[in-house]
Amino acid sequence: MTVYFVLFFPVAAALLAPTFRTERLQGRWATAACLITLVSTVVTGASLYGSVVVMPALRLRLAFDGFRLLYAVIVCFMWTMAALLSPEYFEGHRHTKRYYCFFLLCLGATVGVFLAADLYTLFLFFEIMSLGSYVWVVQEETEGAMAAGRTYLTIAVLGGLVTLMGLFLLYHLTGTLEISALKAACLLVANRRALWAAALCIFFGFAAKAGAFPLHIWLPKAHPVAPAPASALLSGVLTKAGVLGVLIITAQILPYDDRWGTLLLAVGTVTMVLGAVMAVCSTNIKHIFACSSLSQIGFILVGVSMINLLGEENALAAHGTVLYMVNHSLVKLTLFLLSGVVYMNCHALDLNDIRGFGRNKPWLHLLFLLGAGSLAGIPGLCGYLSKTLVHEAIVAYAHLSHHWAITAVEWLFLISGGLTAAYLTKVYVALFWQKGKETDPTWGTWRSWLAVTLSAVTLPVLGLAPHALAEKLTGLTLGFTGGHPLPHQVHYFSLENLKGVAISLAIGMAVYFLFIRRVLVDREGNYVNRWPRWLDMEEYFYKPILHTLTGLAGVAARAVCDLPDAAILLLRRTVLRPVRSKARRHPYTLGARMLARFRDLAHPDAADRFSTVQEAASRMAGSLSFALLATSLGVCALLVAVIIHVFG
Amino acid sequence: MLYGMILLPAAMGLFCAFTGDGQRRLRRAVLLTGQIVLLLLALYAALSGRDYASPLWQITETITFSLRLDAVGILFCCLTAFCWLLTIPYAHVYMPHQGGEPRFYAFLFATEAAVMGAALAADFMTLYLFFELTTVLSAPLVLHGQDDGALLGGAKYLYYSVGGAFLALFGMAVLQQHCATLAFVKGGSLLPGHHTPLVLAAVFCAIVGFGAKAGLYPLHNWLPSAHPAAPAPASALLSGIIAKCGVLAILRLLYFVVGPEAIRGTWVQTAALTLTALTIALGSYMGCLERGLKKRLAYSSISQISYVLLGLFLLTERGVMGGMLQLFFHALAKIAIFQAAGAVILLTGNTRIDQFRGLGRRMPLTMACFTVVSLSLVGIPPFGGFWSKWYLATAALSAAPGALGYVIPAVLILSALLTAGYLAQPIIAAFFPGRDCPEALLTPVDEPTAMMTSPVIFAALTGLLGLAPGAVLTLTETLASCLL
Repeated sequence: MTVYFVLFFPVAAALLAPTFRTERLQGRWATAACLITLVSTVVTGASLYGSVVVMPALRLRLAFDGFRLLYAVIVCFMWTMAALLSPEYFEGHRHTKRYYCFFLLCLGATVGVFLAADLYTLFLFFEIMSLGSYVWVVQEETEGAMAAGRTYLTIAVLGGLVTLMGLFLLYHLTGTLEISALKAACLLVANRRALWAAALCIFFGFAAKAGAFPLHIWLPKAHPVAPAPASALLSGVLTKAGVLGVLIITAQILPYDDRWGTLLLAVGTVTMVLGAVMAVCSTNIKHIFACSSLSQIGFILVGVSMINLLGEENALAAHGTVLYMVNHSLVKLTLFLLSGVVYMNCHALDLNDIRGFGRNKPWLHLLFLLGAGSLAGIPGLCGYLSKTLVHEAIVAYAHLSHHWAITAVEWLFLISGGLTAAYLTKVYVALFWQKGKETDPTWGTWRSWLAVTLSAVTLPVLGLAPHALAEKLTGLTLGFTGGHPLPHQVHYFSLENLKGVAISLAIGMAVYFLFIRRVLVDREGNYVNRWPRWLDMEEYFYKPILHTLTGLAGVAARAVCDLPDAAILLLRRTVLRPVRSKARRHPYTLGARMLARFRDLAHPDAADRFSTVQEAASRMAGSLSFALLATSLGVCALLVAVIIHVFG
Repeated sequence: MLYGMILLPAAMGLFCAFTGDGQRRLRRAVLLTGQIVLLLLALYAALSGRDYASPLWQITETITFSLRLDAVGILFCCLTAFCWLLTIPYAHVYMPHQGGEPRFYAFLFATEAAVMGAALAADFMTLYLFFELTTVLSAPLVLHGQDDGALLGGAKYLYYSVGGAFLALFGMAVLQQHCATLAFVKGGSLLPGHHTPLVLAAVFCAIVGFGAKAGLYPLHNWLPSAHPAAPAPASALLSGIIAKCGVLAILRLLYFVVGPEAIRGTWVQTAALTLTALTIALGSYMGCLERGLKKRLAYSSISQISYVLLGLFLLTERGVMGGMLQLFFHALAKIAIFQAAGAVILLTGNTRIDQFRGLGRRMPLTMACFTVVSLSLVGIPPFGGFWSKWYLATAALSAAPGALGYVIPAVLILSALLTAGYLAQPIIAAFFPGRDCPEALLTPVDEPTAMMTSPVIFAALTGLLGLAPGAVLTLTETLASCLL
């Protein structure tokens, strides 16, 4: 019963949200609903841990294992934090009813995504989540938001349907969609090409949601325009739903397949570097964080590929990847909520306009440092552990494979880590050190304070207790990710591991001082975005291709569609020409014509109706359809005659 | 019993023909009562489990007219009665604005009688008779507006349908010599040793001919002219039910006259599947190109009804199941969406897609229904349309010959994408008009309750039955096992 509650309480709460009159009440209701969901998820998870729940009437299956429960709890926690900040953020905004309604609806859907035990359940909730979060993106209804929404929806629908195609194929090949049964079923499939096609189709949709290259185009557009609490969730959770799908493919559909790991590694590396470079160039704080998400998803995908490539020795990669996901979720929650605080106070997001906002706010300063430090991988915070583990995994694989490309990936990993440090320094310096407009030292009510603080505090808690907490948590998820337990204790703070961070930070500082301060700042000291416009893949690659294709297809479709009509028209103009003169001389038309002619004498309406009838009659009489109709009547008459003949 | 199910709507139609504009309430009361009785009759017949059969005439030894109730017929009858019932309150609000009510109702219910007859037919001759009757009796519904569009639409409708039926008649004439009987027998009654190329050609002709009614390429082009021309309550039923008579006829032909065994693996199956795939893609694409609201929905019908045919042509239980699910869910969704479109046209005068801006604030209930059934048409879970697409695609993967097995699911996905494209556009404009939208486009319009009942019920059904599909899936499964 409690399972139904976990899934349907948020939906019911969503439907109730618009009934509250004031924005404040709606906000409180949303917070309370998120909190109730969080508690009920924990309670349900504790009582049902390790079991699978089937809802036969709804054809849904939910599982409660370590990974799923961990993420379900994180989802509820993040939603609660975002809900806490929302009322203040939305003060004076329009359409808050709509926002809260879809906010809660997506909570139910997202919990469903992470708890799903089969791919149908997963797909169902995934689609609700994808389409529901469209409302977040276009919430402000500005021009930019609508444009971003179009891109988002296009990619979401396209991704969803391609995934569905993959599910068709997978079900056809294996006969099951149950995630835990897939591994055995997929290993038995003889038609590997079809299985690969299925996996790639499924990957398409999930990669699009995760924001992997080359389907990332929606992400840097959509995250900045959404309201900050929603961006936090889009970036922190929804991308992870995409990663979830990639994990399922890796662990269940294509296990032990090196080519899959290699593909994933390539996609991940490109995404990782691209996102970081874009973030370095950008000047909008939310855009920087969005590009950063892109880059971090790249890191995570590299980690996932290592789970696959390392096979039996993937313990480091498996632990590191899950920890990376958790870290990124919490960091992005913190940072996007902080950007929300900035927006609430300054009503601007450009670095040049918000300069110096944090100068007299020490607590905000600390919270930002916690979030940014964790993202950059500073020892003592959660991000350091995850980065170290994934880095170690890459090093291990480089040793194993002796391939120069893997060493290159390792260096790109370090460089991207450096770029992360560089763009975060850029934001940090602009926000907390450079001088700008004087602002009030208070930056929000206790609710916002609580929301950001609670989000940020989780990072050092996880980071300072690597063995007691972080490893225990990730250890629970091995069953899902297909990882192996750690063979020996990891010395997180050993010199070797600290060296990696040191290299990254050194690169970061070099980039910051040599590139950002010199190239990306103009003479007056303003930040400028020097990211070349022609690198916009959507404008200069996807759209032209799409327009050309749709144009051609349109012409073709119209031609094919109207071909039968054209043939009939041709016949009517040549062989089957209507005999017009005879139809005109017909007596009943004569009467009609006479009546129509004496229009003045007759009632105008009657004459009008008559001329319509006359026109209709002449058209029908002249057309082939009339001839056919007459023939059919004739056939009917013939039938009657036959009947009379037989019975009479 | 069976006579009653045909004669009752006919009598209702006759009654309507003699009521004036002053007797609207009386007419509504009589129609509602009669229709509820009819629905109860159909349900009773379905639940009683008795075998109803009543012969009409026997002309020669092979040509007979008779009625019989079987699983397919009863599903069709119940669906028809239900949809007509919900249309009555809608039409009661809509039609006074259009005028000519007595004639409209008379032909509407006469058409229902013909559809019932086609569903209950026990042999090919009876089916053909009622099939032609549905065409002839529903033509006045298309012609109702009496303007240029209506005349063109009506003429095209008659031309294509009658022409198609003649093609089918040819097929029937050939089959009559090669089948033991024209009465419907499970598994068909093709004589052994008569599996000749001529028979296959005849079957193909009949498919194309009956396909005209269902909007199957190449005889599909009457739909975008005729459906938009009719008044909204009629276009809803034309798309939702009457066009499905073509599906019914093809189903009878394939599963009860020729038999699936005779068709499976032949060029006829391949060609028919190719035609449906082409129609599905074409209809969706033309929908994207079209700017007129009702015309766009008519193109959508072309595409969606071909899904049903696709399921039938697969000749497997799973395929039939998918087809029947699609028949059911498309009927619900398309009637609701046409009624919502009718409400928009009636209350705001907007007939084009680009005039939808702000409609979500003006007519929230209408647009909510529109959105829900759109999601079902696209095939987004948990709405009903998802299940039909799921069964169709998986059936195609395992049953379609050659490369078609992979092409058909891909076409289904492509079509779903295009459907999302042409339906999302008005929905987005309606609910997210943008900040600079003039206030005049946002003032709410009063949505008459009587008018909204029907789309709301249909939308709710697509949602609920999609979320908990157990009952519908069992029903279609039983149905499929009755055919194969």
